[in-house]
Amino acid sequence: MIFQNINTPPNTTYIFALLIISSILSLNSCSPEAEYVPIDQQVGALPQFVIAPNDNPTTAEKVELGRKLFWDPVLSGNFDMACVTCHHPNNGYTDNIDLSLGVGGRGLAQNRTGGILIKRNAPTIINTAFNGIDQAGNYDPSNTVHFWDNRSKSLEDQSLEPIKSMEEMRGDAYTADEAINVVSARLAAIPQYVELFNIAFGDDTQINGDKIGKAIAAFERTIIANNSRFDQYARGDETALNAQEIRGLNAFIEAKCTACHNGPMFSDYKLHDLGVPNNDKLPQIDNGVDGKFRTPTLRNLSSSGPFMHNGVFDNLTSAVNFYDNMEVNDDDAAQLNFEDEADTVAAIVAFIQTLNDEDFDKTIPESVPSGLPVGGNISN
Amino acid sequence: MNSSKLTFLILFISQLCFSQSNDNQKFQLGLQSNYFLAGELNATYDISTGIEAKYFLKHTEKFHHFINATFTTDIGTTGANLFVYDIGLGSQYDFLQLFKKPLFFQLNAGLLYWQEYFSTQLIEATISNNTSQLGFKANLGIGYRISNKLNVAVNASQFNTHGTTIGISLHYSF
Ligand code: HEC
Ligand code: HEC
Repeated sequence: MIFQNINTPPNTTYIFALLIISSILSLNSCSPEAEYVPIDQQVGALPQFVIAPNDNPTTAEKVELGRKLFWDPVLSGNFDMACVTCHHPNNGYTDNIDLSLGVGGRGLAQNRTGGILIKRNAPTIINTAFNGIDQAGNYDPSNTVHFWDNRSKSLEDQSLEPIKSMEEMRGDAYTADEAINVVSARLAAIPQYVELFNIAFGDDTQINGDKIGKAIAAFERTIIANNSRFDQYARGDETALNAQEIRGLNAFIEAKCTACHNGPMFSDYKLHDLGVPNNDKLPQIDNGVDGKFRTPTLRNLSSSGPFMHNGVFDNLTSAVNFYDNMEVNDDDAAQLNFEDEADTVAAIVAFIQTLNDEDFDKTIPESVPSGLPVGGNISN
Repeated sequence: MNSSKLTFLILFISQLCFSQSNDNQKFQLGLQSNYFLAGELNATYDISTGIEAKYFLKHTEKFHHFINATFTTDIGTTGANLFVYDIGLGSQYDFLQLFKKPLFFQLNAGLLYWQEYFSTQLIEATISNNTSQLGFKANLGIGYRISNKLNVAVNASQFNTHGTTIGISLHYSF
């Protein structure tokens, strides 16, 4: 046996060998230490339930009314646009085009032609009920933020803006100041709406902007997708993510994407200047708020591309790759520690896709009370 | 660098001082250090270290056939640990004599069993998970016998379809 060979070095060699082996074996353990994440940068599952503002509790009646309004082009100047024209359930409650096409257009999503070019990409309605949510699950639905520049503070307020907007719904049929009154009067002349408003808000209720906003907001609060595979994983189902997706989750955290994309919605709901390239279709550069735009959610991106406020990136991989040479204009961006290696990007993209949840309300009404085409001019 | 890694390094260096001449070289014990170049594993790990045992079945003039077994683990990763055990067959081919010592190619391939442990800090909970899998491993290297006791080599290894590494190894013969 070699151990008896007189030429072998002394026994100390074998002791050394054993020590080397044991020190390698003890390098790692079966319970690795997780990357430390400060509480305000942690990510996690969405809550099971939505909070509604005190003055607009969600009721089935309001939701049904809101759904009708959401689909009815009667809210638009030329009876051609409904909310759903740009936020369609078949397209994940958005329109899958870089920049939305508004008044005067025809068709839906990629098939849409004509229409006024809107300067921004349409975000999804899914989970907007949770806008502003923090790590503790807290948010005030009557005082949060909506739009890429955070200019609207509740779903109630937000839903009146497209009605007033010339490009999105109003056209040149009336002025922005007249819009809500004109639309309210139109609704008051349709018996089915009068009945629906009475059921939702009490007998002899007056149809006005406040109630239109409340009904649409109540409906939007039911467009929820809070059971993605990531949510299941975060709630304790270890089998919900595969190794590649967990790699992506860890890489996402390690790269400090969570400096901004954090909380249950993967957004801090703050404004940042990332220096996203311009979309050449736009005649004028959109500067947001001093060059800043709000961190968007990373949920349900499978159906909400193209990406960024101006839809300048066609796919998730290019949106993630963008962070490689990003200019650093704020403290949160300075935390980025992103390795632009193809394998890391692929893992992060795989992880972001686990935030998709296709199980949201996709109901398409057969008709709307105005009798107009459901969803506006969406069939070519 | 944590203390166990430091001890390991010190021990390894002192180990090198023990080279003595020995012709009866049936066993080799080696250390490897690998850098992840590509593949899924590359998204999580940068470097790994391994210990390899080789048993030479047959020495011909130029060919040396062996059985090998390796244990590989990652270094310096947070949130994940990798353990790879593999066993295989291989050959070493001396193609050139340089300063009276052979320069050789080596090729070996075999089966691997791999385990990974993950840990992630999420809101209100740290989620842990693990996976294990069987697969193949292949290794191609070019090496030099710097003394009767010591071989150095540069290797490219493939861990299943999930990772490609390049690295260096040092083997001690006895
Ligand atoms: C012409 C297309 C179009 C129409 C019609 C439209 N939207 Fe939008 N929507 C957009 C675009 C584009 C944005 C982003 C605008 C911005 O941020 O400045 C947006 C933003 C939103 C947001 C903000 C989401 C968030 O996370 O900040 C909500 C909510 C919303 N729309 C609901 C509605 C409702 C309700 C209607 C109908 C009353 C409607 N939209 C009609 C294109 C449209
Ligand atoms: C400094 C804050 C910040 C950091 C750090 C950050 N993001 Fe973002 N992210 C944003 C903002 C702000 C936008 C929207 C920018 C715009 O449209 O101008 C955005 C947009 C995105 C989008 C497009 C989403 C959509 O709906 O259009 C993706 C995907 C994305 N980020 C992924 C990541 C990944 C992956 C990382 C880490 C490598 C990361 N982000 C790090 C703030 C940040």
